[in-house]
Amino acid sequence: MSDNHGMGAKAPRGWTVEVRRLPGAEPPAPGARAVPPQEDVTRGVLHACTRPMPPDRGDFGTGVVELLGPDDVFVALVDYGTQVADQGLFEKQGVPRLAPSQFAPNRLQRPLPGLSASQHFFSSGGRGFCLFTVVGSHARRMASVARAEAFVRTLRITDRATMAREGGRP
Amino acid sequence: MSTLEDLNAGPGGLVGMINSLSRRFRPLSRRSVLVGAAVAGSALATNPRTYALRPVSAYASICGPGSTFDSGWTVFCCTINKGVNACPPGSFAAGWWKAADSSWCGNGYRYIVDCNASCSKCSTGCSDGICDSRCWSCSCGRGSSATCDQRRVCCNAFRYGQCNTQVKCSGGVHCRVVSCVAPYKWDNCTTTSLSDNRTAEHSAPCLPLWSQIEEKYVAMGAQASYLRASTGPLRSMGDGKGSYVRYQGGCIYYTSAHGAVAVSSFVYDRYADVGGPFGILGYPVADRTNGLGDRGWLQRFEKGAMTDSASTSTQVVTGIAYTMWANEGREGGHLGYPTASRTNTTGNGWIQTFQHGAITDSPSTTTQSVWGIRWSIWGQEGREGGHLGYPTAPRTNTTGNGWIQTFQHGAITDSPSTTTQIVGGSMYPGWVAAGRESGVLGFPEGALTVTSRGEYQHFQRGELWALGSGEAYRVYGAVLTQWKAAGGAAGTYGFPISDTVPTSSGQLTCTFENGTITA
Repeated sequence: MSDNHGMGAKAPRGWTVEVRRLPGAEPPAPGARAVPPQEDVTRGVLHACTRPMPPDRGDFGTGVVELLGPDDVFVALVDYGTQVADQGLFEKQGVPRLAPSQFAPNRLQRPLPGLSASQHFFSSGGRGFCLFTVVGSHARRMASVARAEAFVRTLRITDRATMAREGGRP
Repeated sequence: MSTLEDLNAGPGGLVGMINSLSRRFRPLSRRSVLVGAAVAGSALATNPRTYALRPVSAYASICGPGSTFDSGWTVFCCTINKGVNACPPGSFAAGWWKAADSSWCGNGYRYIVDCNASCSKCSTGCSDGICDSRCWSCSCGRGSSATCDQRRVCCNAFRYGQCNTQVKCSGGVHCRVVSCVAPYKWDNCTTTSLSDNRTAEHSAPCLPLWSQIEEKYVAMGAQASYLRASTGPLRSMGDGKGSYVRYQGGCIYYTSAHGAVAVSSFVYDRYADVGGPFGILGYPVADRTNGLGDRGWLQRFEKGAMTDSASTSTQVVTGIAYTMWANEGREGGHLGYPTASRTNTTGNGWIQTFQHGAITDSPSTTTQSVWGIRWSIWGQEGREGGHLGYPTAPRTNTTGNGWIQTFQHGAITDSPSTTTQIVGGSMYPGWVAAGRESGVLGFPEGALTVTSRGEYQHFQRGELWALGSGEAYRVYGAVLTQWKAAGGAAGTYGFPISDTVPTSSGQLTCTFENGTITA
């Protein structure tokens, strides 16, 4: 079970899961009264893939998705913080369920031949997230989306209050 | 050499050659050599005819990797938005990421903002945050074939998600905006930073390359500044001296002599009216200075300045007029702000008026300023077209704590014991001959008075009298007393026809129409 930055997943056999936070300013401490300076804030990003992932990859999988074979799956769970949670784009609650009908070849930042993706913004425990899933073959998505969904069901998100209580910065 | 490895390896390979070049041309780094070579190579590859045959920079034809439609990436907004590096109408900033080590941002972070289409035509399909493509405010296509940025226009149904999160549902990515300043400083975005370093060198010919101008723009806050978005690339002025980038809110010019200087669109429009860098002002040499007196501002150029205040309109002061204005204390000095542009006057002269005076010149005089009470009096007398003519000297202090300003045909003068007076016409040569304010007559005590047969003027210690349009003669001392006692010009003696002069015996003598007084 990978669990870091208030997110984690139980990697099925054959999957690689990594939670990372790139260098940058930390989110403000919970309850901090002072207005934080305006600077790039990095938060945790969970990447999971059915094949090894190169270290130099984009948060939405650039550098990884180009390597996917027809049966591969890539999942990114991207933390957007508490500021945006529970409203607007992040209004929906809970980790979404994936279905093949949600996938389309143009749902990537950079569509590539064969690939298919879905993107969901949601909130969980007072934190905003994006779940981005790429399958290696749009034609074979019926099978690969089921595998992706099985993985997504293992995702665990720590709620804002618990994370703050444990010294984290949601 | 049969393989790529062979080609790269060893001192004679590419790696060795690049190391050797960077050593030879220090302080160039290996990266600089590589980037320079890549730039030239890419330029040749993407637009060989233009790059080889015309004097354009290699960057002018550079789009970086993944510039085709099939590459999957989205086009830059400037390519499809009339050169403007901003979201086109109908779209909005929907998210951003950054790419490290970008040559387009001085090897720092480059921020890329996705402009997503709005769901302007319908709102179906919003269950996952992206409406059906038929609802989008734009439709899928490719960039113009006139540019190397052939990337996708409004095709990719993706959202980065940190900007304008109040918009629950959007269309796909219309185009991309770039900046070297984080978008949360200039748009409605959060600070949550996401990265994709593979996009560091993506670009388009309509985007300004990294230069002193871009450095200045970034220091000003880029899109957060009054300049807002760029509307075209870095361009040369074509004089081998200057270059510029235009923005929605103005322009930045660069010359090696003055560095990068910004002008607002308000200043730019007026600057263009007077010829821009090739006109009467030359290149800007400093940013606009705000907060001057009377809510004024001023921007310096090579040959002058543009300025304005709450009480005046925008004016340009150039050349010798600017030098003189600056010497007089500029807007805070005697003249105040300019109130009109330089105007040609009679006799091939010119004048520029200010709040409290003017600067003027003519072919037969030197450039002079007239201010304060002299300006009022000179104006009342008909200025350069009146009987004083053009000023010939600045206001000068005199003996007895007085002052004088001379003109072609007279002077305006004053002292603590007199009032400000003009000495002009026939009186002026007579006063000059008498030694002016430090001579036997002293300062004038009254204005010129015209009588039926001539004219006269009173001075501290005597008088000047002119019969008809003839010369003015001085009458003073005991001679004046005796002449006045005899009725003056209207009396027995009539008008003087010579100056009062001392005799060898220490007396004064003067000849009048009807006799001589020696006293």
